[in-house]
Amino acid sequence: MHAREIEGCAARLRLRLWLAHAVHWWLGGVMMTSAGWAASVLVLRLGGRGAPVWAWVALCAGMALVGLAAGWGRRPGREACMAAIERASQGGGIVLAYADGGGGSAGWLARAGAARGPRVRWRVGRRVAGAVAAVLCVPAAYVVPLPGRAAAPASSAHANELIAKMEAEARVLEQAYGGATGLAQLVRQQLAELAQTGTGGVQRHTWEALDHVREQLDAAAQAGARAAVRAAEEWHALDYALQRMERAAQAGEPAGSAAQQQAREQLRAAAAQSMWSNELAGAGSALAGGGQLSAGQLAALRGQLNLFSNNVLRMAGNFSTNLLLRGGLTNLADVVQGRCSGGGEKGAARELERFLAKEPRGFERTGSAAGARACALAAVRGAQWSVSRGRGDAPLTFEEPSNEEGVARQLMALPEAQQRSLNDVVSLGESGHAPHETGTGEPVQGGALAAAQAGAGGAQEAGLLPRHRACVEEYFKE
Amino acid sequence: MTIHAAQGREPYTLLAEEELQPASMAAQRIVAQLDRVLLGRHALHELVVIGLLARGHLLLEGLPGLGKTTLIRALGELLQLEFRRVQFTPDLMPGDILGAHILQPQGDGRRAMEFTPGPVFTNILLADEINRASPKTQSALLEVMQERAVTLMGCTRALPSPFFVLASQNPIELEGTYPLPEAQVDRFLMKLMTEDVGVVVLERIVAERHHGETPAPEWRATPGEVQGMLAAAARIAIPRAVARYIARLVHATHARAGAAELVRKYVQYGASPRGAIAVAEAARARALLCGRPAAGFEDVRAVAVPALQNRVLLNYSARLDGVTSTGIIQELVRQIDEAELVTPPGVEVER
Repeated sequence: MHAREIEGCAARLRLRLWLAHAVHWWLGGVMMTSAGWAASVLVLRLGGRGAPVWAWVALCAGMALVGLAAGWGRRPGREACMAAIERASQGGGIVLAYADGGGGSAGWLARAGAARGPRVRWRVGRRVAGAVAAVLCVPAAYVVPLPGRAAAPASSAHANELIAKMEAEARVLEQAYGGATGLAQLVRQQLAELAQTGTGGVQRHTWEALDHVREQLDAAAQAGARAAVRAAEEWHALDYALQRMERAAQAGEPAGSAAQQQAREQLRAAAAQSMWSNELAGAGSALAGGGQLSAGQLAALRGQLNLFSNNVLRMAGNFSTNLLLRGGLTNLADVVQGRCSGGGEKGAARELERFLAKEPRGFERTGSAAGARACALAAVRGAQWSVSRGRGDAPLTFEEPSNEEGVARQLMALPEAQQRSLNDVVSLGESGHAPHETGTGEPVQGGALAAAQAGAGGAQEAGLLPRHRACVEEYFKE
Repeated sequence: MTIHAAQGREPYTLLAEEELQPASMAAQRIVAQLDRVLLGRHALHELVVIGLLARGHLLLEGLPGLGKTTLIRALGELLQLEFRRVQFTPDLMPGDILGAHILQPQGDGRRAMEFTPGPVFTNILLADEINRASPKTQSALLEVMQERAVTLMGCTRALPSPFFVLASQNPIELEGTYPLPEAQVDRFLMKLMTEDVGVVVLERIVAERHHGETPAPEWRATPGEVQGMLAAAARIAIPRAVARYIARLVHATHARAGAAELVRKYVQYGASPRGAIAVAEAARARALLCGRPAAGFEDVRAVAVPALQNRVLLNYSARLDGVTSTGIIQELVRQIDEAELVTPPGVEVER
């Protein structure tokens, strides 16, 4: 009973100290990670890139595991914990004797069992303060304004306005392409992805999204053009047939006359091919049944035809909108890809700003909200487009190998005038001074050696050069 | 009853309470009787008894008139052991202490060399003012103290057991004295400082002691009780953690890299392994005196200063700065963590 109490006491102390070490290491890890993260965020933001917060949270959580592992290696041993219990309870060595495996009478064991575990006191130290300060640096790094983003708020306000227009445009697309709602959704999804990747800073993804949207718009524009041409042809056919029928009715020709019959056949054929309106289809069925159209029926048919013409006109308008949208995206891609002046260089950001300041209005005048949306996204990105490193999927080009590769070098003898034989070198002595190159024909001398030769007194006399003056003065000052 | 065996260690049995209790009681009665004889010296008396239980020699240092000789004489009387006193003087020769071979006439008319034992052949030897003897005479005690034997003329004679040397020396009268060699100082288990007493104790001494006569002890230990105490002290356990604490404490007295600033600055030579043994033995004896079957950290802390202060040699800087070995050891005891727990900053384990 008492033995279990002592063992449990030591185990609890060991666990507490393990946790203490783990927390200590975790705080240190959080402090270093947060400080490094804050610095990295600042650097990335200056470079036009973002850093997700969840990665920092994951790093801090990972540091907890590191702390647990480090604390596990530093936790005290069982004997040390027993010694701490002994020290705290003034056990007189009995607890330690028990820890060593010593046995004795029950009285000794009872006395050892009465020992209590020492308290572990935690005091908030500098490490906690440092960790808190470092953690606070991270949100500060996210919200601190950068010099290159001073104009961002104005652009953002304009961008929000344009984005709202783009949303309206997407709704118009959905309504216009009644049978192609999926296409409109796809366009909207791609634009959203474009916005996300554009702000995420992964330029390669931005290029891919731009290309994909442009391809989708190309396909939509072609489909819209084909539908518009077909609808226009149908409309012309129906309009011509209806005019003939109306003229026949006004001329008072009987229903079974040849002109009336020909006009009815023509209108029936046009209505059978056109499925744009249920009413028109009903009229076509009535005509196919050989019935006589009354004046009221003709007026209703005229009204449906007018609605149909309006749809055709809207379709043609959307077709032109798509064409303009594609043009806007192309222009934007051209700018970003560095095809405009200054693209890809340090001044590209300034060029892009000028372009965006001018072009969004142009897009708006053309009625292309999608183009405005693209420009808005670029405006949101702002100075992030300062340096373009080219497309990520650009092909690698390998040029011809260097001409100097594998070329054998040829030894070339120096001219006679530049050669000096070792036999010509005469050792005059040693000097502590730095060597200096002598001129051609000048005798080799230097430093104390030169002074020894010049003075008649012997080698002890050393000349004082001007550069020694400060040293000599310092010597006599002392 | 063996509880369990720790990893890699053989289980052992602690001294039973019924064996420990009589020895502990006898030791405490000796201390009580010494307290009765010499007033106001309880801590000193405990250390003296600890030294005896540890079978160690003691060096008492103090001014004249503080009761060193009286204490040792009372101890001999209490233990009922043979007691001899030698006053060390500059002309004292080794033969005067150890004994000598003297030419004696035999019954058949011839003469032969006979060994006449010196005063060391006793149980308790009081070496009074030991630093007044010449180094030659002091060195004669080296074998006596360490081997508890005397070798003369190629013949080694064992001393009676138990054998204790209780030496005293006067720290102020340095004229005509010879400081003890370090080898001999190291052989003393503890160096005890006899310090002055307070006014209250002085008042009691003046009032109760006519002509300085000490009262006779009311109780005396029998030889069996003395042997029982010594046997019990030898069976007191030293746990591994306590042994490691002693080792770290002694190791910390050496001025090597990583040592404490105080040690590196003032210590010339640290304590020897014999010092570590002395601390361990004294800790065992103190545990017995306190009625415990194993020595603990508090025992080591209590005996560290008297057991090590004569073994730590200081340099001249310490003399100039007034630093003593006692102060250095006290600081080491304060600094060194017994449990050797490594805690992160800001986390403290209750002591």
